[in-house]
Amino acid sequence: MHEMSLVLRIIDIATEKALLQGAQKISKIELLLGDLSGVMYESLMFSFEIAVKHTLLEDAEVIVKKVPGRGLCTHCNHAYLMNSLHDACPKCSALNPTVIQGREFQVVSIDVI
Amino acid sequence: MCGSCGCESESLAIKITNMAHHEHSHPDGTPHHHHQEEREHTLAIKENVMQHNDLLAAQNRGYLKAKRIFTLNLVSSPGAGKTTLLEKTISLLKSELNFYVIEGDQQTLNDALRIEKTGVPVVQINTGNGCHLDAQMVSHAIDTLHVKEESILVIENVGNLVCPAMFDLGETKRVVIVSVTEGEDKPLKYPNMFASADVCIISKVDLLPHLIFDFEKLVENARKVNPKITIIEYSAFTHDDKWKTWIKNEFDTYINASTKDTRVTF
Repeated sequence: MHEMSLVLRIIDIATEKALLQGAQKISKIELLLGDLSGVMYESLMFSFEIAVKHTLLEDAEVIVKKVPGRGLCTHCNHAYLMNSLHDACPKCSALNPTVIQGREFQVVSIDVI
Repeated sequence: MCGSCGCESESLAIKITNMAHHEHSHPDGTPHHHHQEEREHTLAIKENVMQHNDLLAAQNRGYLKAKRIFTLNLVSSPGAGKTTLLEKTISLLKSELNFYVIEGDQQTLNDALRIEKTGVPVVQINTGNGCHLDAQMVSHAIDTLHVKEESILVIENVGNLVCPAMFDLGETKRVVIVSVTEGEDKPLKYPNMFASADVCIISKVDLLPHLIFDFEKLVENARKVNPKITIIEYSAFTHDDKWKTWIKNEFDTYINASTKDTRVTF
């Protein structure tokens, strides 16, 4: 339900750029998806399959580059891998690090014909 | 990428009127033309998917700030008591503040009709299958309402603790409401929402004598996820005015800050 509205937005972004170039079709789309973005990969791909029908992206290959989450502890400055937004620092157990990576949700590029 | 010289085309930033040609410069500044062949090539985009909403939200925020309209985005699970809180708040404060309300639900005008009975201007957005309000919807609603300067605009979002967290509407403050019947671990289950909120209202506290509920645990969990969050107890059926006081103080602070003389003197 929710990922569908995000996919529709992705299709708009890609279609707009493709049409500006006079492209007839999009053969590939590359996305960046951070593990901490709050967007579910499986729901996104499921929604994609449905939503691209009758659009320029209908037969496009979808490449999703995942970005692992990383946080910087505000107490001890240790940088660490995060699987969720509120993972505590493994060194000093402090919460609420500065998230330095992993919130990305971006249309990187499209291949057009 | 240009097939002749291998340089990256910047033409996405420029509207192309003649589709057969595009023009760009070599790094040394020499311009050249070449034909755009019908071959597969990559276009760099690098656009954040949320950028469109974020830009519209920023536009909303600018407009609201300029008009000194104090704006709240009320979010919660369905049934936490948003509409009741709003009805009561308006009844208590409408003699002092000009209220405008935007209601968001998948279907029905029910909430807008309830607010209408309080006598303040209200507009209902029905999202259909949509699970959240977005900045574009709110922008249209603000236009429809003709909100006056120095007013308070309350947006009652769709009942949902997941999706609204991602969508900035341009509000001044985001208020998450959690009722005492929802469990102490709610903030841990929905950290994005609680982390993005400025205020957490704990509602229906009049039910506490009938519940096995650790109030302090809920507060602790909310602060774990957002150390800066303001916690306010609330009941629609008692005369506790902590929430009313918060609104009045925040509104006054907001109006005073906006009307400060910002002229630069030399």
